[in-house]
Amino acid sequence: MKIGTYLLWAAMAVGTGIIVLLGYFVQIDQIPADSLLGRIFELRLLIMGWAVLLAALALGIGLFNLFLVHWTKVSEQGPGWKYSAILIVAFVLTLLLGLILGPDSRVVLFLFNSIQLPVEASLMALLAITLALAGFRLVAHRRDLISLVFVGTALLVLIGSGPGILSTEGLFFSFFAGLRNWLVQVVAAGGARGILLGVALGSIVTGLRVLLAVDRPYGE
Amino acid sequence: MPEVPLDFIEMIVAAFITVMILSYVIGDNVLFRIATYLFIGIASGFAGAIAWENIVKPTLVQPLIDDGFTKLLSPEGALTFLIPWMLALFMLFKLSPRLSRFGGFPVALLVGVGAAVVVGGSITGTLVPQSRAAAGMLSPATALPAAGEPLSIWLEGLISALLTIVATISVLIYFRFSAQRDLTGGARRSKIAEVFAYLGQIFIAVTFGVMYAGALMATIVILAQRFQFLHDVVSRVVGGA
Repeated sequence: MKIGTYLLWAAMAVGTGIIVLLGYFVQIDQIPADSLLGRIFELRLLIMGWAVLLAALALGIGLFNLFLVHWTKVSEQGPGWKYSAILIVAFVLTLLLGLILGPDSRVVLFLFNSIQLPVEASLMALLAITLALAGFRLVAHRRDLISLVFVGTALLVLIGSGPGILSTEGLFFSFFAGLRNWLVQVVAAGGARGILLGVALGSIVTGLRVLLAVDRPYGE
Repeated sequence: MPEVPLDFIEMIVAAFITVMILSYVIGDNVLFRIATYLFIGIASGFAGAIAWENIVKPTLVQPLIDDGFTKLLSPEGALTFLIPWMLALFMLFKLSPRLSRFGGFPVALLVGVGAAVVVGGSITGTLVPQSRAAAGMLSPATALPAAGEPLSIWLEGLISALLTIVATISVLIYFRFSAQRDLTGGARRSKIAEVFAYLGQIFIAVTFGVMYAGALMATIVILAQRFQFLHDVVSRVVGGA
């Protein structure tokens, strides 16, 4: 029974995956809609729709879990339970207002504009300080060639991006501006392409392992 | 009593929240924690409301309200309505530890589709275009000097193209796709591959250095905008504008 269920799940993952994957490489508009292949590709859109629905439900389950974790913390009055209480009130209030009035309503947008947006922007602003501190710490604690190249490149790009450190007029700045452009457009572009290709190859291998049922993250 | 406009209250709350978050500069404190927990609560509630309004309601609930159960009897209704309901029910089994193994069925579908999207997206969105762009740098049309082009300009372009390609290849070699494992589990490569891998490490450091500088500049601009916003709020409150 257990093997049967596992095979069914694996077949489900492989079958739906292959149908969706084929859609990337076949010109669908060339296939007659009433042919068998045409119907399979019609099914592809349905499967994508089901996957979107399941992703939304998975999000719902995640939110329910978040609520439960913090609810337990509040009921047991564990460390930081007051913060959990704030989270629960904010979560329930926003969710109820969003469900009743709609996420586009004035009240929900008020919460979004007055809390979510400034928090996101301020956290990004904090990142400036965190990044600068991390840069200094790197110089202080790790003095090898790779760290030196990293920090040196960052400094050259910052100097060449001016204004601020150097006046934007004069030979000195134009040298650094040219060097910055060369670093960004030649060296970093090549490195970034290598990283992108590496990530893509890694993703393809991981995806193919799932599609060939070698990896089965949906359970045994 | 004069009516306070909603956008003014919105601005005041946003300013307080900004100060609460920026207070992290002096260390982790109560104000920062309140703001972050508030943020997580609101963001989660908002995400849940969006998912319900845009996906769950139109797929599962609205057809039931519009057509009732009669739609279930048609073959088209089974595909667009009955199966999504069944998948949703199976997915909800994940909430119960006793029944969660039945939730593996919709998760398998989700994983299968996700893997296909990742593979398809990586091939068509990254692998093919980036490989073509790299190969295009050394195609005769770009690598050979154009008519009337000064030799120094052509040479500069050719060296840049070669350097870009060396950077790409050495970074890929550093990722150890083709390395064999030795007895200790480490990567075993030829001397040339070792040199290229080290070069790749340097190119990665340069790339991350450029990214770091870009991120630092962008976040400094955002920090300045936040201070500008606080300045505007104080001016408006004090000035009564």
